[in-house]
Amino acid sequence: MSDAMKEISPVLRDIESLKGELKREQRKIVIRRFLRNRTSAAGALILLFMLLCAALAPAVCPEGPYAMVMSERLAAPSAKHLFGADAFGRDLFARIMFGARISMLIGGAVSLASLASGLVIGLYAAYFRRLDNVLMRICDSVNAIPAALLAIALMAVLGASTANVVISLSIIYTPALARVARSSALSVKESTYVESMRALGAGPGRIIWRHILPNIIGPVIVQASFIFANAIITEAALSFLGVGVPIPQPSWGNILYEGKSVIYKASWMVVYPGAFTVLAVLGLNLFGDGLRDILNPKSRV
Amino acid sequence: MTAENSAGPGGPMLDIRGLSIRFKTDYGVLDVLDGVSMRVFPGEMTALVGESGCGKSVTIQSVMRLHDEKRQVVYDGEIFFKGRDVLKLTRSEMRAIRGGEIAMIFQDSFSSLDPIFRIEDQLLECVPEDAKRTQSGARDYAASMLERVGINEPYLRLRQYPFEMSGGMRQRVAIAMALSRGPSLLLADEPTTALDVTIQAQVMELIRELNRDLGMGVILVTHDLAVVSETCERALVMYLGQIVEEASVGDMLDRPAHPYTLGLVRSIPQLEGPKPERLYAIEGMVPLPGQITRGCRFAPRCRYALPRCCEETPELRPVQGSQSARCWRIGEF
Amino acid sequence: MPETILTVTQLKKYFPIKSFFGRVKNSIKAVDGVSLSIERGRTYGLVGETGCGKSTAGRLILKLLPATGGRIFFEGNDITDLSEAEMRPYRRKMQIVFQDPYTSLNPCKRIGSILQEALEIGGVENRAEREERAVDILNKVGLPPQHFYRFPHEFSGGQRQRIGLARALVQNPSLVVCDEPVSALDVSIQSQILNLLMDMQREFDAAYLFIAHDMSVIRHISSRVGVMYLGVLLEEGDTDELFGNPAHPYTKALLSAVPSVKRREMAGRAISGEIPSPMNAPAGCVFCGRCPHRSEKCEKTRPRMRKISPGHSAACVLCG
Repeated sequence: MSDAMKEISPVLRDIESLKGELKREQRKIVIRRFLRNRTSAAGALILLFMLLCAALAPAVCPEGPYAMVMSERLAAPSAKHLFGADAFGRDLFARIMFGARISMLIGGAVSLASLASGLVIGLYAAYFRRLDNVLMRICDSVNAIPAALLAIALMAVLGASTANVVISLSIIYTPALARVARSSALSVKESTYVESMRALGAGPGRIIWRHILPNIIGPVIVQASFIFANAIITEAALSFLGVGVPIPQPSWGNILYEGKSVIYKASWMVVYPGAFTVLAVLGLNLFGDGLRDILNPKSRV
Repeated sequence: MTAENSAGPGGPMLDIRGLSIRFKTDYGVLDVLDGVSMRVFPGEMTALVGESGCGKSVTIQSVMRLHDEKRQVVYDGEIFFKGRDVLKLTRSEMRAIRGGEIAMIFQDSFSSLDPIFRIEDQLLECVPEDAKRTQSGARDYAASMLERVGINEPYLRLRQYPFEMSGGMRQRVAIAMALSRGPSLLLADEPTTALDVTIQAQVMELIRELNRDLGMGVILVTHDLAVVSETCERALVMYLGQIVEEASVGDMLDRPAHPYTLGLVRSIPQLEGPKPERLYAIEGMVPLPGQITRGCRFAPRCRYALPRCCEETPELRPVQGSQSARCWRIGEF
Repeated sequence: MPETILTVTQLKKYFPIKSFFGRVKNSIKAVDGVSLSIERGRTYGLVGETGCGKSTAGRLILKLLPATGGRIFFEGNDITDLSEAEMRPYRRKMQIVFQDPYTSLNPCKRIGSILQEALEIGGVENRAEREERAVDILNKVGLPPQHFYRFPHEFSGGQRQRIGLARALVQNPSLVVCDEPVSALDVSIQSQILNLLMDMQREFDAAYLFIAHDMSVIRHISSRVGVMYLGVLLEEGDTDELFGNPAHPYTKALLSAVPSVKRREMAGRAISGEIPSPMNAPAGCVFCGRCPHRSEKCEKTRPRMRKISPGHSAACVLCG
C-alpha cells in the first residue's frame, strides 16, 4: 500500500484517508444491521455455539470420543456423563461434541465446494447462451434423481469415508446453487451497466467475475447457507443408513443409527444427537434468512 | 364548521387549507407537505407543477386518503370536498367518495389495471348499480364508457387483456374506469408522462374535453409546463412540500414571480425562435426531505438569494391580481 | 468541411420470431435500412416515438448488437464485420451514455474505480495516470474529487448522469452515442445536463449521436436531425431547415403534437391512431396508416429518400 501511496496524485492523497473512513463506516452499518435483525442475530448465535462445540471438543472432553468404559454401557445422563453413555460405554457428550466437528466440516466443505462449482456453472451458463443448454440439462438430470437416492448410489460407488461424503453431497447440491447463480446473473447480464462494460470493450471474463459476480453474491451466499444446513441433514441421513461417515468416527447421524436399536432403553441416544441436528439446521436457516434481508439490494439505503 | 365552507354555487368544490403531512419512517419523521392550500372550482383545470419529490402527488393522494393512516402518516389541516372535511370522514364514507365523486388516474396505466383480468371484468366493477341490473345493460354501459373515451370497437376491446393494448389505449381505459360513476372531481397524476407526444396530445385532448363537457373539476399533476400551458386555467408550483407560486397559467408563464418558476419556464428548450447558446439552468439539485435548511427552501439554489432568504422563511404573498408567490424579492427581478 | 466520423449505410436489424420448432415465422424489423453520417464535433439528433428503432440503431452502430444488414464505417474503416477482439481498439473511441442513470452504473463499484476501469480496459497501464485522468474528468463534469470513493446510490439522478458522461468521455472518444440521456431527469436538472453535454462536446471535439423523443431537446442540441418511424428514416435535414420547413407529414404531425409554453390552447391537432407494432409494418410507406394525405400508391410502394433542398430530404411521395 505504501508504494502505491507514493504514486498517486496529490488530490487523491487528500481523499485517500476518506476511502478508509468510508469503508469502515460501511462495515459498521452492515454489522449494525445484522445485529438489529433478530432473525440473523439468533441464527448467528446458534451457529457460533455449534462452531465453539466443534472447536472446543478436545479441550472440553480430553478423553476423546473413543474412550470406552464397559461398566457404564448405556448409562443414563448424570453428572459424569452429561448426556449419558452409548452401548459401548462411550461418553455421549464427547461423541456429540466431536460429532459437531464432522457436521460443521462436512456442512462447510460441501457449501464451499458447491458454491465454487455452482458459481462457475451458473455464471458461464448465464453469460454464454450456447453453454446454457448443455450445463443446465446436466444440472436437471442430477436434480431429477432424489437427493438421498443419488447420495446412496454415489457413496456405494465411492466407498464410505468422510471425504467421499463431501464429494457426493457437493455433486448433489451444486445444481441448486448453479440455478440461483444463473437466474440472478441472467437479470444482471441484461442490465445497462453490463452493456456499458461491453461498450468499453471489456471481455467476458472481466464482466463475469468483476461485474456480475459482486451483484449476485447476496442470493448465492444465502443459498449456500441453506446448503450448509441441508448437507448436515443429508450427512446424518447417510450415516444413519450406514453409508456415511464410517464408525467408529462419531457423527450425529451414526450416533442416531446406533441409538435406533436401543431407543426404548436409552432414549438419550436419540434425543441429544437429534436435538443438535435440529438446532444446527434451525440456526443455519435463521442465519440464511437474515442474510437474505441484509444482502437484498432493495433494502440497502 | 361546515356550512361556512362554501359548498354553494360559485364556491370551490375542493378546498385544501393549510395541509401539512408528516411521514413516519424508520429514519425518523419526514415533513412531506408544509401548509399547502389550494382550491378547485367546478369545471376548472388546475395544475400542480413540480419536480419529483416536491409533494405534488402526496397532495392529491391525501385528498383520496390513500396513505396508510394507521402506521405512516400524520395529517394536519383541512381538506373540504363539497363542504365536508375529507380528513374527518369515516372509512365507509371515504369509500363512497373514492371512485364515486372523486376519481383518480395514474401515470402508470399498466399497473393500475390488473393484468390477469379482461378489460370488461375491471370495467364492470365500476358500473353503477342501476345499470348493473341486467348483464347486457352493464356491458352496454361499459362499452359506451369506452366509446366515450374514444376507443373504437368497444365490444371487442372489452374482451381483451391489458397487455394486448398499447399504453395510450390503457390510459384511455383507466380514464373510462375513472369516469364510470360520473365523478365531479378528477385527480390526474402525471397521466401522460409515460406516453409518446402524439398519444399525449390525444389523451390530453380527451381530458380537456371531458372537463369542458361534463363540468368536471380536474387537478393535473405534472412536471411539464408546456402541457399546463395548453390545458389548464390555474397552476400551483410546488417545491419541497410547499406551494411557492400560485397564479393563472397565463400570468405564471408570462411573468413568473418566484425564481423557481422563472427557472422552470426558462430552462425549457423551445421549438421556435432563436436558439440560446446555453440553456438557463437552475443550479444544484433538490435536497432530500431530511436536508431542508432554515429560511426559504429554495434559497440554496436561487441565483437571487439574499442573506435574509437563508434566515427567514417567506410566506405566500400576493403579487398582482390572483397571483401570489413565496419569495422575499417579489417584483425585483 | 469537417472530417466525417461515422457513416452507416442501409443499416438493418431484424429480430426473428421463431415458431415452437425453431422455424423463423416472421421478423420484427426494428431498423430497416437507415443511412446517416456524422461529422467531428457535430451532433446528429435521431428523434422518434417509442419503438421506432432509434435506440436499436444506436446499439447497432456501436456493435453492441450485430446488424442484419448494411455497413458501418467508423473514421473511414469498415467495422461491420469485425470480431469482438478486433473491435477493442475502436471501442475506446466510440462510447455511449444511457438513459437510465439508476441502472447504468454498477451499484457495487465506487465512482473512481468505474472511471479507472474504463481507462484500464482502454489500455492505460500506469495506475497513477489512470487516477489522475479519472479525477480530472470528474472535475470537468462538475463533481468534486471528494466523490471519488462514493458508491452510485449516494448520488442523485443528475449526478449519476454526470458520472455516466464522465465514463464515456474519460478516454477521449471521437463518437458518443447519447441514448435519451436527459429524459429520465427532472426539468431543472435536464437543462444542466444539456449544457454540460454541449460544453463537453466543445472541450473534447466529439461527435454525438443524440437519440431522444423530445423534439425541443433535439432542436436545441443537434446540428442535423433524422426523424425515425417504425425502423425507417422518414426525414433528414439540418436542424433549422427541418424545424423551419418540415416536409414529411409525420414530422409535421410530431411537431404539432409537442406542447409549448407559448400556446394557451390545444388546437385540435392530434393525429389519430397509434404506432403499429413493427411486426406488421405496412409494406408501403410505414406512416400510411396514420397519414392524413395517404393515397393508394403509399400503401403499395415504400417511398425512397428524396432531396428537397440541399441537405434536406424526405421519404414521401408528396415531397421532392
